[in-house]
Amino acid sequence: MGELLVEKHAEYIITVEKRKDDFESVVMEHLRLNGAYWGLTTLDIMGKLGAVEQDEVISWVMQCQHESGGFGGNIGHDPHLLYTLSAIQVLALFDKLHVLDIDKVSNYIAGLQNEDGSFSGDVWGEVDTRFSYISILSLALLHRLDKIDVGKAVKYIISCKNVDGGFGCTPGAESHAGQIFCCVAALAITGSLHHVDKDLLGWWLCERQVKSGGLNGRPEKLPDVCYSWWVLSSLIMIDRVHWIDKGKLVQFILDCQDKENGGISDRPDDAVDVFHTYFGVAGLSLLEYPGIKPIDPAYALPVDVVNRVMLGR
Amino acid sequence: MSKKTRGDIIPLLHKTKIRPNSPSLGDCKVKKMFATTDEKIREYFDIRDQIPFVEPIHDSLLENLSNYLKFGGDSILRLKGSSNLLENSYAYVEKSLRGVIDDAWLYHKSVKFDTDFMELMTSLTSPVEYFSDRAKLGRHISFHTSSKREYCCAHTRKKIFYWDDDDHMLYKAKSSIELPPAAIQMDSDEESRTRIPFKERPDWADVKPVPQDDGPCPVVPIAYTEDFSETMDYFRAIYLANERSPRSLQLTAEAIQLNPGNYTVWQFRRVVLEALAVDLHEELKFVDRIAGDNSKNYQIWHHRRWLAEKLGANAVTNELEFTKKIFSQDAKNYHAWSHRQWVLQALGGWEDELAYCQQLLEDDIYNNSAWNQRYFVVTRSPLLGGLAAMRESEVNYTVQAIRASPENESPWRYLRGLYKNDTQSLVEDSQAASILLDVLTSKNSHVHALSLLLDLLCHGFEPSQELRSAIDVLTPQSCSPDLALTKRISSILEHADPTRVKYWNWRKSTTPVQSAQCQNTDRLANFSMQ
Repeated sequence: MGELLVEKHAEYIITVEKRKDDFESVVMEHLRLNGAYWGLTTLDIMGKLGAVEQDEVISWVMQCQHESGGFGGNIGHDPHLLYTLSAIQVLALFDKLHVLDIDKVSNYIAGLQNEDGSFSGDVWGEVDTRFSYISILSLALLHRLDKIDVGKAVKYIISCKNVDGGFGCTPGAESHAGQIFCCVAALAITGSLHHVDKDLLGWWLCERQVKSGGLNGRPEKLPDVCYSWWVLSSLIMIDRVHWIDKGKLVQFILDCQDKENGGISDRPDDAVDVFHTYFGVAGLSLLEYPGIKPIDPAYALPVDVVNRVMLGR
Repeated sequence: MSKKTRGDIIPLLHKTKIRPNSPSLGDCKVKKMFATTDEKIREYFDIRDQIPFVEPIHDSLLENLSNYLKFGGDSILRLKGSSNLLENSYAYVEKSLRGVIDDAWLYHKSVKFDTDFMELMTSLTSPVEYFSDRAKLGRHISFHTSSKREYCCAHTRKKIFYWDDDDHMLYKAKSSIELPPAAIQMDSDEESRTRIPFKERPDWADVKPVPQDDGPCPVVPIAYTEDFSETMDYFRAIYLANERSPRSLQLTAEAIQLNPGNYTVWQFRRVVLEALAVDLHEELKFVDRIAGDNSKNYQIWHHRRWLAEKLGANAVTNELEFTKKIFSQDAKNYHAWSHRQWVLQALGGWEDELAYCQQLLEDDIYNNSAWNQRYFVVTRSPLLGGLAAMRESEVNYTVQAIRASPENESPWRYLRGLYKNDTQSLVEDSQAASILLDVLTSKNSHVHALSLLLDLLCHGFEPSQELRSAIDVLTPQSCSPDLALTKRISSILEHADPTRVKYWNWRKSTTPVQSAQCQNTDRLANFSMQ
């Protein structure tokens, strides 16, 4: 039985951000704000956020903001909901939401709601339940949910529900654990969980656990550490997490650690990355692994941060 | 960037792949390696009993799989966007991996396992060919020796870079080795020519490149590779100038080829396409080329949809064929399914869709995406008359699929879906009762059959004597025979599926002793919500 190598993971996250001439950093350049959210949230859960120069981060995040109010994935990139949420989450981690022009950001988000209640990711109009979640979470964190038609937003999400109890990206699309997380979390934040068939969905979600203890995201797919987050958080939100074998899942995640250089991969012995490091550590947090902070399954932020932002404490 | 070695996978040497000067292995040892590798494959992919790996595996497949694993697992295939089918489809695996086998690699991994990197490079007869083949598959690969030093290599179209574990660039292939003509010819148009830097191109002389602004103290400083950096500097210049010109179009093509994930470049490309009124059929061809290696990239699908919207009904055949091509490599590609559903609903083309689902399910009956698409067609096609009209034939089909592989969760869920809002008809369906009996008296997995039976009993289903006897046979000895049928079924499930023992335990606790009414949340009735 291994243990979570907190020091190594913290070191990995900090060094990966400083890496130069790296193929991955080049292709990741346009989504660096997502990377910052994954890395910084992981550090915070592990109690290591102090290792980061927060003024630099905040100054950079703010330079990613576009005149429309939305954020791009990096300086000079077009705004998109994906990065707007990451920006808000990173600022929330540092208790710096007040540096935002909250009305401007929330108007940008609200402007992307469509007539049927769905959300587009940006001005180009791609629709997906991921964007419903992002909008709802962003506006909740900004205390501006009143800017959108929540009823319609909920109705659209429910129209994406399938006969197996899960949710897809659009009406009729296959149930997928990532989409289920988005839909269930959006319903949780808006107080609409009564629309979920909890027992039916709970069964589908716990069927995602495979022999190795890991979770997959759809039937007959490979297990992947990222589903430790998508599946687990959904199970917690619908109060069915006790239906899976938590001990085996903890072991699966720990087996995906790079014990020499830190970081967590999708499956044992694969290459590590910041994305999977976040989902592994966040998954362990949901599993109440000792020594790390609890994370909120719907807000995807440490519970103390959510309490501070939402409840002012 | 770091990539751990699969130290526990014994390097497999197929005799025909061994170089003349490498030590050969006896048959006996080879067989042992086959066995070990086979075991690893099973464990790694969590291939459950239903997957036909129990059958003797012919050597070529095993060889392929072994190579695949040795290669560092599925990352190469994943980059290709296609690891998913590995579990189920021999044909697919063979197709995907043919060409991945490489003596140089085998040679390196086995014979020169501890050699220094540069020594390896000199030992390869054609390193560039070797790496460019890899690159065509995944654009970026990594590899390593088992000694102290680890090396990675990335291929950005024209150059191959190697780093040691401290990220010091060791070697730039382009500076010493030119790509062989064969490799160049296999590339497509723009990318086929040796890249001339923008600063040396006469038609770009008037543009002042704009370097990436990382702010005064970059949080995440990134030093870009040369080509990438120069291209992006020129991109920023035309983007900021909002220059909607043919050369801008060309530049976005180059930038996209360097990094198809960069959404800002795609968006600007659409602006330019609109301004120049370009023939969008040509643009489709461009996307086809990019999509080959990047079928899981959101931007490509978004762009494709924008094009199809513009082209309207003319795009139907093309888009359906395009997604088919993607499914031939990765039958569960979520983006492609989403695109296909949009095409059908927005532009039409439903005529052959049920037959296509049928074909995909013949290829792989475990393909949940194809089952989902089948449900989509049956419930939404304007040509089929809806669920009510289709139910009987669909139940027939589903029951056959269950009979063929009772451990497959997809058809069981599909069967329930066919009776959405009409649980009573499922309870009364003789085919359902018959398939339950067949499965429960077979040696196959009983979990899904028992689960459905439990639900049906909650809705007043009256089991036949044979069905009761089948349950009697399956009931563990520790269970009192006097216990109610529903409780016994739950006990069997607790034993049969220990991973979810708590779920089944909960089912047991909420299942009534008498079968007439179910306190359980209406699992079946709740199919109504879609």
